[in-house]
Amino acid sequence: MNDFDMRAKVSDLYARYAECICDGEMEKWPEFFREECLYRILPKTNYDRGLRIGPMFAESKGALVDRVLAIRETLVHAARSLTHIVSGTRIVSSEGSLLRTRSMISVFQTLVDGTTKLLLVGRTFDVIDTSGGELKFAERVVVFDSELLAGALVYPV
Amino acid sequence: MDMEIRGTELNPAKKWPREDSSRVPLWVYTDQDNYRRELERIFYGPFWHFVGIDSEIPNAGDFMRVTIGERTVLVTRGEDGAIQALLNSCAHRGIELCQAKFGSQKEIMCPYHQWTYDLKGELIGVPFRRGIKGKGGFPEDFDLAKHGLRALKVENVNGAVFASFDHSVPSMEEYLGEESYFYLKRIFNGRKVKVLGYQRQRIKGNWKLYMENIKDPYHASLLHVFLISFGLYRIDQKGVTVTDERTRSHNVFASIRNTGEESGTLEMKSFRKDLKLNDMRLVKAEKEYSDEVTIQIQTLFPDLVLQQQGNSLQLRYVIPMGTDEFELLWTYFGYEDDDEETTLRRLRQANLTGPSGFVSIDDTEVLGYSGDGIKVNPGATAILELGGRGSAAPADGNMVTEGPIRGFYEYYRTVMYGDQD
Repeated sequence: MNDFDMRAKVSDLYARYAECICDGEMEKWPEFFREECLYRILPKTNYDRGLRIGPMFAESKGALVDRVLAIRETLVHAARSLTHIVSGTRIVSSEGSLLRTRSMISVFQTLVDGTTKLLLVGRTFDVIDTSGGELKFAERVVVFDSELLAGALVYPV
Repeated sequence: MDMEIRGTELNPAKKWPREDSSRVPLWVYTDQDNYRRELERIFYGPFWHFVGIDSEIPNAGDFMRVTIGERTVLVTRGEDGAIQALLNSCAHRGIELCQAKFGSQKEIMCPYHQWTYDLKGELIGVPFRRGIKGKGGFPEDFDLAKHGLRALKVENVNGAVFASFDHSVPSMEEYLGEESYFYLKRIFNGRKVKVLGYQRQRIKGNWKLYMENIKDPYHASLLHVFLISFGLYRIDQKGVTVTDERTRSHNVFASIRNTGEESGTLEMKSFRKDLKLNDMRLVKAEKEYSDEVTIQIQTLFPDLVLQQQGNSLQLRYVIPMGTDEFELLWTYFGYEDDDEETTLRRLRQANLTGPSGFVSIDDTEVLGYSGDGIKVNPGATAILELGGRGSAAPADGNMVTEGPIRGFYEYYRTVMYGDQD
């Protein structure tokens, strides 16, 4: 596959990923990852200091399924709408079947009786596995700017 | 006059409905004067506040900027290795000296007029002290020694640093009482502590609601469906409850490993047989202390929670932001000699708490709803009768009680209004 086709596929992956979360089709979200994967959201202040604590951390697709199960079945939370604006999707480097990619993201949240608010902005540092038929995330690391979150961060980014 | 005594629905008279603490008037969460009084008496009064982990400022000159109440404080490591806590406000005209969260510097210089302090807060220089060419300058008797930064009292408990604006506060051991101090030192036990990261969130409710939430085991068995569904919490779990008998405002709930069974946390007797975790590493805790305590939830009056949840160790520090909002600052930590597998366990289990925590999301959301409901009904009253009406410590291990919340308010009332009753 030439570079141009791969760039188009990566860009398509990011678009479908954002649509999945914003459309509320959470059950499909883990399918964007391969079985063995790393998923992490962390504030910039920790990232800059080499600290690994953040709102979400998973090391397997199973753990992502658990997160969806928790959101669907157990977590008490008010209904909300989310819109992800993803830009600057870019292949940074490739090694074998793995691509290092980056993107910029803004997430807007709307609660019942509330105006739309910016939930977070940040950068993603991802690794995409191209070995299968479909592109899958081997790693997705979301680094968000303001460590100060307004309330809870319920849905993945 | 008459109106002031009786009050109205939205401007209630500031009275307590009953002598015991089984009733809490909602104006304690909404009234501005009450809030200013809390800042003066509780946050700037003779009580200890957590200001950080000492290994975050290992070298002379290192500092961190932290918050107590609404004030920022600089915690600095001096040339002699001692830790100081200094009010982040220039003695000259009150300006905040420092805006950085962490840093290192030989001296503290105000960006406005360059008044310069040493790491202990002593004023060591002011520009144009003698003026220019004999003109201007400070009066002859201007004494640098009299214009240092306000220093707080500091105590370092094996790496956990506490500070107080009021130097009359007793030592941490005396302050917490023997049993609560024992549990604090169970975690801060002399092994060098290292920070794994911070999380911060703002919650639209009064700061006290957070402390109450932690003093309330009643809600855990009802609200936290994640724990119940996956069989991670049972209200009949073997536990220990500790109450500081003098103040009744420092509490510990501890869960004891169920011996004879595989493991307390691995015991997945789910109320929802259809729900099962795919990645069990989330709850797979390893024993790491000499005792059998698997969960320790401790509140330190007024604004700190220390929690051991399996292998996840955290401090949750409450920063008030007016009557109807607070910040929750989470400090996750481990020990300096942890191996990578231990650190990974701490990181995995941290998924239960924080802004996206499988358990904590419920609290964050519900405390927001509390804030919404209370703000518009300041004349109403909260009822706290589970487990009786008194503030006596609950029987050991009894989790079906609101006793610790009643204890908190009994003490709160004494601190806030004891000289008026």
